[in-house]
This record gives sequence, structure tokens and C-alpha cells, in this order.
Amino acid sequence: MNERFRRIRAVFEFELDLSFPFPVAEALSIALGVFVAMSIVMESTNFWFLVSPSAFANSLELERIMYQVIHVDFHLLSLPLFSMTILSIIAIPMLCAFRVAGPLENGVLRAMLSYPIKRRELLILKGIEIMVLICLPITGGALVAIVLFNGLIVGFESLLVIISFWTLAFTILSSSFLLSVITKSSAKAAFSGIAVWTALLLVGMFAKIPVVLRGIPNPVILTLSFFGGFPFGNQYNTDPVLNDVLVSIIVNLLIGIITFLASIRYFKRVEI
Amino acid sequence: MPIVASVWFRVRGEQHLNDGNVLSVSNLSKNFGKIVALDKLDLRMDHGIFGLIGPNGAGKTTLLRILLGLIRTDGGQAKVLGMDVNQDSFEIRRRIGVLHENPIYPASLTVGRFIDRVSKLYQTRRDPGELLELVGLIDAKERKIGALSAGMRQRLGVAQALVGKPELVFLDEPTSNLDVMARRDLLNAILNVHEEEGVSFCIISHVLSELERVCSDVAFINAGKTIVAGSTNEVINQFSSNRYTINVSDPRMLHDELLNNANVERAEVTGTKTMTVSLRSDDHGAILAEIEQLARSKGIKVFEIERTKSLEEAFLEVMRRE
Repeated sequence: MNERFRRIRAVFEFELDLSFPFPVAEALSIALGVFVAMSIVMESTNFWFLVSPSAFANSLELERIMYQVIHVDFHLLSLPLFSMTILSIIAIPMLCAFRVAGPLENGVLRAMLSYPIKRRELLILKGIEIMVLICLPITGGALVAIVLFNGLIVGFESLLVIISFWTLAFTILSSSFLLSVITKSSAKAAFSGIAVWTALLLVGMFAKIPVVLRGIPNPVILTLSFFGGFPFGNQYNTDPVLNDVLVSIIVNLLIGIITFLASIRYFKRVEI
Repeated sequence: MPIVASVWFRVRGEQHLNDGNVLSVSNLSKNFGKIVALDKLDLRMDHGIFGLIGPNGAGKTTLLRILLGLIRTDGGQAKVLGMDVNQDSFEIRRRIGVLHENPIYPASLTVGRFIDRVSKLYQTRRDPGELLELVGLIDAKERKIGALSAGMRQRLGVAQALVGKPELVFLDEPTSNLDVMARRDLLNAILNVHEEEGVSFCIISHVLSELERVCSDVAFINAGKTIVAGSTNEVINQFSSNRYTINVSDPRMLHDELLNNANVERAEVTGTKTMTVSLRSDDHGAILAEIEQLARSKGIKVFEIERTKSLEEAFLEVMRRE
């Protein structure tokens, strides 16, 4: 077991070093986290970062701002998380194409798989890397903002939104991996990944189908809609219930798992 | 290296000679669409240094990719160190080292860090410092790979192929981009590693003079088939036996005279004072005497006639017959 763990750790370090220098990944993660935290705070304070410095001299004005700041609650998660959903639909397919199809294209993967590295392990490690790179800072940023201004009570709603975001990110990642190993071209994989998820997002938002089906391609919007109390849908039932939310998250996750297993299976047979 | 370790490595390497071949390929086929890359290829490699030779597109790299488990075969069987390439690819890669042609390395890493990272992928590994010393890169240990010259990168490639204490090493064009001195050093290093540690090498190269120097066995492949295989000396003797190099005062004139000679299969001008001839009959002495007499009668001075014996000549001869 120790030997296996040592080897997987070595593969992970090697993969990370070979793919891109570590400071780049760190910088990207930190930037994302800060971005989410700032967007939550800015939404809660009517963009008080843009208020002139003189406002801070006025004690009444400062009190008003502070009052707004402490009223950060679940609703404040809506816009940043929705924005992150859109960002993920673009960023994750591009990252996957860059990390899987790119090395397939330029021969890096041929060199890597000449070492004692298992294809399955390599793909899983790449998946973990991308999930950590995208989801961890976003979740971290959101949680830090909530905890800082709202205390340690994060709430079931916020947790479920974050879970739905992770689920969606994983499903986008799985499908992008599959597209990457099928196309073996970073440009084709990135473009088709973004196109597929944009289409699914639009279907989820505007198609005349039951709300639970609409939530499957994008459980984040459904969850936000349910807890935020704003309608989500078109003609059919527009007010989702908790069951709809849970079903959409579970089905989305299952699709992600099946697609990920398919991409591993296909990757094992890919000619490099 | 300590004597005990040296003996252990030798025994470990020679074990495969007793068990069978280090590499054995039979009836191996691979098609890419309509292109036939390997056509029922047969090949055997014993413990030692083996040279794989063939023109561009002969199927050498495809064969290497199959042996590494990077692509699947369409038919036939291939075994490396007694293990099937389709079933035991991971185990094979734990016990071999590879240098690809035009390899890509992370430009932002230092030489030392890269070798260290690669070494951790293996269960048994060499000391990175000792390895860099062996390939002459110890002074560049702290340099980034992106700042290395083409020759230094090639040496780094050889180092990473040897880092996991492999039993068999595949080297695809190991001396490309190296100057004469570096080539000689690298070949000496390969010979040393083979002799001291019992590591087998399969070298794919177009520089046949180098292969002739280091390889105990060679195989020529063309259009996905093995044409000739055997010990280097046997192959050279078999396919260079009717070729002679003649030093003359006017090779062009003698070439023209020999064009219609029934005993001369082929004549070629190779320099300002040299030419080669391939003889048709086995009575070489009589034919050479006839050529010498013909030259003298035309006022051409013949300085020297000697049998051409090299792997390159043998390869050219085999390709001509193909």
C-alpha cells in the first residue's frame, strides 16, 4: 500500500511539474478565490469599493456600509455562483483540452506513458488537479466571505449550492475528458466542450420541459432558484421543490460518473 | 561500481538469455487505415546491444510504440523481457528505459529536478548525481532544461532512460544532435553500462557506423518486414562480400568502361579518386585482375583495391536487392 501511495504521489508530482509550473496553478486558484469572495462582498455593499475615500471620513456613512456588510446571507451567493457556472462551462473544457488533448497532440503523453504510469491513474490525477484548481478556490472564497460577514452559520442552502456546483463541475470535466480523448485535438475538444455545455445551459434555462429535467444539465441554477425563491422555468412548473433539486444533483452526478468511467475506458484504448 | 552489484546486474540481465529472448516478436501486424505499418514482422533480440535499422517509414517507431504498449497490435505477438506487451505493459515499463526521437521535456524544470522526478516513478533507481556524471551533465544540474543545447537535451534523454535501473533500454536516434566527441562519449557510456551492469540496449539509428561499433546484433527492416537479422559481423560479411573500393587516378573514366562489363553488377563513383564495384560472379580474383588490366590499357592508374566491409555497405546492398 505504501509503495502504491508513493508511486501515485510521484506520478502526481511529475504530472504537475510536466504540465505547467506550480506557481501558475497557485496564482490561478488564488485569483479565482479572491474574485468570488470580492464579488460576494461587493454585492452586499453596493460596490462600496467604488465609493470615494471621503465616504470613509463620514462616520454615519461608514456605519451604513458596515450595516450592509453584516447582512450578507444566502442571496448573496446567487450571482457569484451563477457567474462561476458560466465561467466553468468555458474554463473547464479549455483546461481539460489543455491538460489531456494537448499532451496527446504534442507528444508529451507519449513520453509520460513510456514511464511506469498507468493511464487510469493519470486521468484520475488530472481530474483531481482540475477540480481542485477550479472548485476549491471558488468554494473557499464563497465560504470565507460568508463566514467573515455572517458568522460560522453557513447554512444547508449554501452547502447544497456548493455541492451542486461541484457536481456540475465534475460532469463538465468528465464530458470534456471524453471529448479530449476522442478528438485528440485541444482545439476541437475545447470548442466542442464549450458548445455542448452552452447548449445544455440554454436548454436548461429556456426549454419547455419539466423543471426537474431543466435542472439536470445545471443543478446550480435550480438550487439557487429553489432556495432564493425566484422562479426558474418556462410554462411548466416554475417553482422547483426540494425533491427536484436533489434529483437533478444526483442525476447530474451519475451522468458525470458514467462519463468519467467511459473516458477512462476509452483512454486506455487510445493510440498514442 | 562495487563488484557484487556489478555481478548482480549482469546475472539479472543474462537471466533473460537463459529464459529466452529479451525481445521477441512474431507475425506482428499493424495497420493505420489503409497504410500497412507492420506486415507480419518477426524479430528476436538476445541479451546484448541490438541495432534496429531501416529507411524512413519502415515501421521502426511503430514497433517501438507497440513494445511500449502505446498502441495495440492488429495481429501477432510481441514479448519484452518475456512479458506480453498487451497484457503486461505496466510491468514492462517498470523494467525498461526509453529515449524517444525528438523527446519533449518540461522547459521550466532544472535538469536535476527532472531526473529526480523521473527517478521517483521507479521502484529501484540510480543516484541522479552519478547518472548525470555518466552522461556528462553534472555541471548543468541546476540549469533549466529550456536553456540546454540540443546535444545536452539528448544526453538528458539518455540519462532519464537509464534512471530506473532498466534491464532493457530502447534508444531512438540517441546520437542525433551530438558532436563527434559527445557521440564517442555516449557510445562508450552505453558500452560501459552494458558491460558493467548487464543492461541490454535496442538502438534505432541512421548512423550505421556507430551501430557497427557497438551492436552485437542487427536487424534491417523495410516496409514493416524484417529483411535481414543476425550478428553484425555475419550481416556485414554476407552482404558486403562482393563489393570492392578501388582507388584510381580517373574513376569516372573507369566507371564508363565498366558499365558494359558482364561481371560487374554495379559501379559507382564515390569520390575524386575512388569508386566502388559490386561483382556478379564468385571468382573475384579473376574479375579484379581483368578490371585492373582494363584500367591500365586505358591509361588509368590503379592505386589500391580492397574489399568494402561495413554495415552501411551491407545495408545499402540489402536495400538495393529489395
